[in-house]
Amino acid sequence: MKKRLPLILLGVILLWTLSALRPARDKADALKVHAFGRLPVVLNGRVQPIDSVARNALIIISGKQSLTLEGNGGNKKYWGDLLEISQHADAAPLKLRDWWQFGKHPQKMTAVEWLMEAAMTPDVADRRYIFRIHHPEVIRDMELETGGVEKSGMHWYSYNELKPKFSLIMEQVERIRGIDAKLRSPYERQMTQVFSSLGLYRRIKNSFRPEESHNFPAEIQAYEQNLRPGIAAIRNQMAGRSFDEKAVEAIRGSLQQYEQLRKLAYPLIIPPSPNSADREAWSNIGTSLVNAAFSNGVPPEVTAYANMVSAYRRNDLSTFNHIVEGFRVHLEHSIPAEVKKGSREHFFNSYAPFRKSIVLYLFAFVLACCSWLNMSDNLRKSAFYLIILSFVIHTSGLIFRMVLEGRPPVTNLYSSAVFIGWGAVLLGLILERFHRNGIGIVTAASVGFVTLLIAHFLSLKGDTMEMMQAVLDTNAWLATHVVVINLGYSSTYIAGFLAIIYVLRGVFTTSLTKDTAKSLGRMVYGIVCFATLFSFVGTVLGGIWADQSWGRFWGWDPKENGALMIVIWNATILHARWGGMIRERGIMVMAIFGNVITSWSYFGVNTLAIGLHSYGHMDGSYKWLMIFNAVQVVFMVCGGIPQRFWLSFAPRFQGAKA
Amino acid sequence: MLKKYVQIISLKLTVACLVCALILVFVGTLAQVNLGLYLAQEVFYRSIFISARDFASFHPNWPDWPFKGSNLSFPVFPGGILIGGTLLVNLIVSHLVLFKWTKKRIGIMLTHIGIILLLLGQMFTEMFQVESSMRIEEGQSKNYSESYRTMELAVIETSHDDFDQVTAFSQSLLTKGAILADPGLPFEIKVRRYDLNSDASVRAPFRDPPPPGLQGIGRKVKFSSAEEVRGMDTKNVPTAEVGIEFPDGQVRSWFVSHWQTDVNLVRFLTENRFGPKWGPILGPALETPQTFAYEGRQFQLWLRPVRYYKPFSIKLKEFRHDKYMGTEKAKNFSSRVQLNNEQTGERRDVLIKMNSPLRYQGETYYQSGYEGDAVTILQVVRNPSWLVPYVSCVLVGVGLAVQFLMHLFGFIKKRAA
Repeated sequence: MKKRLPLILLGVILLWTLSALRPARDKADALKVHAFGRLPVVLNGRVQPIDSVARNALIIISGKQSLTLEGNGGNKKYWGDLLEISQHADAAPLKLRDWWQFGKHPQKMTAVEWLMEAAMTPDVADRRYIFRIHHPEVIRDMELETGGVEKSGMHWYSYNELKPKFSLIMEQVERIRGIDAKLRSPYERQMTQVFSSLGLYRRIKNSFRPEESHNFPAEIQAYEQNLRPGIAAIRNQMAGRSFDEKAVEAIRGSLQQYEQLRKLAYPLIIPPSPNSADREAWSNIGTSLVNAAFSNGVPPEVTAYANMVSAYRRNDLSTFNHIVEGFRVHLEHSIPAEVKKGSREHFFNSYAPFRKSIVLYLFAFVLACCSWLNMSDNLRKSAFYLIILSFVIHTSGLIFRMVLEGRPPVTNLYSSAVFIGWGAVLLGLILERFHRNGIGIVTAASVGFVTLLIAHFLSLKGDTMEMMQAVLDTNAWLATHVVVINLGYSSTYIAGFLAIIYVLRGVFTTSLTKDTAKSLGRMVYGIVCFATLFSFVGTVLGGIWADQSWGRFWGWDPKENGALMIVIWNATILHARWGGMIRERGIMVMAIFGNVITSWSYFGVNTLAIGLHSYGHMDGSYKWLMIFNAVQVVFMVCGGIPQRFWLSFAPRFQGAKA
Repeated sequence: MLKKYVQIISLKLTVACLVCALILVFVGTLAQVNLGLYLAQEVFYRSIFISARDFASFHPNWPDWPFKGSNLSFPVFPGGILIGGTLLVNLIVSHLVLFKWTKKRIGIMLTHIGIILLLLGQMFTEMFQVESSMRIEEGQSKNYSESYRTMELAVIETSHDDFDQVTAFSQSLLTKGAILADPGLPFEIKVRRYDLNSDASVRAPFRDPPPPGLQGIGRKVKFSSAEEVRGMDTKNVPTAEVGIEFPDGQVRSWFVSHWQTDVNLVRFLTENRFGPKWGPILGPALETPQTFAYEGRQFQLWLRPVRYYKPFSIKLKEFRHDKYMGTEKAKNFSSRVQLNNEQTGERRDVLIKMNSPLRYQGETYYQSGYEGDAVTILQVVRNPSWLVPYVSCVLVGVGLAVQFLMHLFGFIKKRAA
């Protein structure tokens, strides 16, 4: 029985993941949220389901993919719907669930549900606490201390709470606009972020209907009826002939309103008309309505969305569901490929493979560490199985993304983090296959966890499947140079990580036996060899790509230099080893420094923001990079302590062990 | 004896060079923020030694860094040429001395041959690569490309009916007091002034009258010297004042400036600097040739980027700037050009786009930029050793793979045994 424990654990978790593979279905008598979320629209230059639009927008505004509806109010006196308890005078300050309130399971709203609410019944959505503000001085300056909802230092405010502060925000933003984005203080960055979140929210509110409209379908109908005489009258007016003033008046208001909507509406929800040759001519609802004046009337898709909105506002579930279903069938006829893409990506979003992997890696890491403590092989095996499962999910996610995008695995910083993690886990698993001492597991689990965590933070900036910059738009080079160079990053990190294990176990525990030390030494040496291979070939391939597209093989661009530094460092380690200048411990210390160099090449050059490669620009990460580097230096110093002071090699413990 | 010596020293030297190279690359990268890409390359990578002052210029925002801005010019660190050269010599010597053809060393051999090729190739590239650019408007045809940085003083004789005779003096000759002469020219040109960077403004005729003998654009536009600039997004605009002694004993002088020979600079002056009153008058005046007659022959003077003439011409038929649907994000840039070679009678259409350049007669034409919707900018590169990295990449890749796989299989076999 005991022997089967790992397999049982694997089975349970396998069931959990398999259950997530079932496509999300709407209940028969409920609002067809999933069906609506699958509908294809265009944003950021690509076809995506409304679900993705909603998730990314909510992430940008609130930092989360779903909205928590319930929480605590007034020193735990209340618990329940935040909108309701905020009505009580003594309820402030509102708080989300505290971590020890295990019994509470707050109700949540999915991103699509939130988007529907915001776009269709904005008066309710305006009261939701979605705008994340964390800078205390911004909160103080806007006098928001008593409002909003709080959780561990983060605050979320509603649109209605922020409304009176618009003039203040505008005033600040006007000033900040004059400052170079790189030189802005955290306060200024937060202000601009609040401003752009408010702008995004306003665009979402106007995505399916004009915000202030009362009965949109009726308005459209009236507009369509008045359109022909109105346009004729305007033509007469322009030509200087006598014209029907009333007819002009009848459409003027609508035209102005729709012109406004054309600038505001966020995703392009109206597909190209079936007889249009340009399959990319999607438009937003405002553009469609304005264009209706010059073509043959309002497209049926506009009316369909307007009717959905109207049914939603009337709380008429069956009508809404009926229209959504009918609309999907309609789209399946006119744009089958896009509909398919929409449901695929919707499935990918709800499957969320990388989020699952993150949890599993963490779990496996804990198990593997425990296995070192009591040397239980069952724990080690459980961890091993878990990682394999997690790796399968990780891989399936990568492949799914590749199919969705029609691209090789790495297309931006986010996907490179995912891919580096994948490569590192693969390496770790191979090591474990050979050495069976848990080291490969710990390495795979922790590097997999950390890289996916970094990827998660990178994903908070919005769409992770954005379209590529023109120069990067070539699958051949993305598949070779980018993949190989990222494998180089992976293996350099793994070598560094193994070295850290060596140093920490050696200096602070007695667990680093001669055999373990020797096998770690071999692992690091072998991996440095492959890191040299990958980083060299990857770098030179990058040079060749540059030769193809910019006309020079090597331009001393910061990103190129970063890659070159990794190659040089790996080559240094190897030559120092061959020359007998360093041995096992020396390799370890140098391999840890490889972490510093790789991180600088990977993140640091982006913070320099110069050169041709600065498309991956990011700010605020500089601090974390420095902290990471400092920690690595501490590890190196530990590794530099003469070995007779290491617990594992100290004579008195040696005696005890014998 | 030699063998033993090489055996001991070679690997140590390699490690020392690699560590130096690492530091050099790092510091040189940071220095790009202050010095700009081009100068940073000159100072760090194309040098033998790096002076204390240059070495300290690396930190972008650290004003109190020691030696920064000081004039300490003693060398403190080896430069790119020294490090690369040492690595190269060391590699070649150690292979020559320790050469032993065994199956076990084949991977290392291949790798090192690849590295030697790569280093040599890069050296050749540095020496022989010529980069220039070609700016073509839609419908326009050009048979020359222009240098990015170097200027030339062009004296064009327009007296002939069917051709213009161009005599060009390169920028390096243009120093104050220099006398420029050429057998094809009936006169000597004296350089009175040369500013690496200059500014242009409207000359106030009463407050600041032109000096006697000054001809041409200098009478209307005042060119004053400006501080030399460095950095990524900045550009120096040189101006020269040249004088010519005429047979009647009179000395006449002209200002010639790059402000006249770059469309965008002319536009900048016309639209911004000269103001609405003078812009429309002085703008066209800037682009008007400065001509004079000497012994009955007609001449023009220009200070312009060095031109590389081709035996063929390239005509821009269409420039396209595609965007992703519903966004302003660029999807692709492409130029449809017509290649027209009268010598060979070749005439064909070529589509130059991102990642797909035109290679023709030893030169490569890349899509590198654009202005508006109808102007393309092509980068023109002549690099005779462009194929070397391709070869060396294969050599090193195969070499390393062979070496490490042999190592890995050996290890697995040993474990299995």
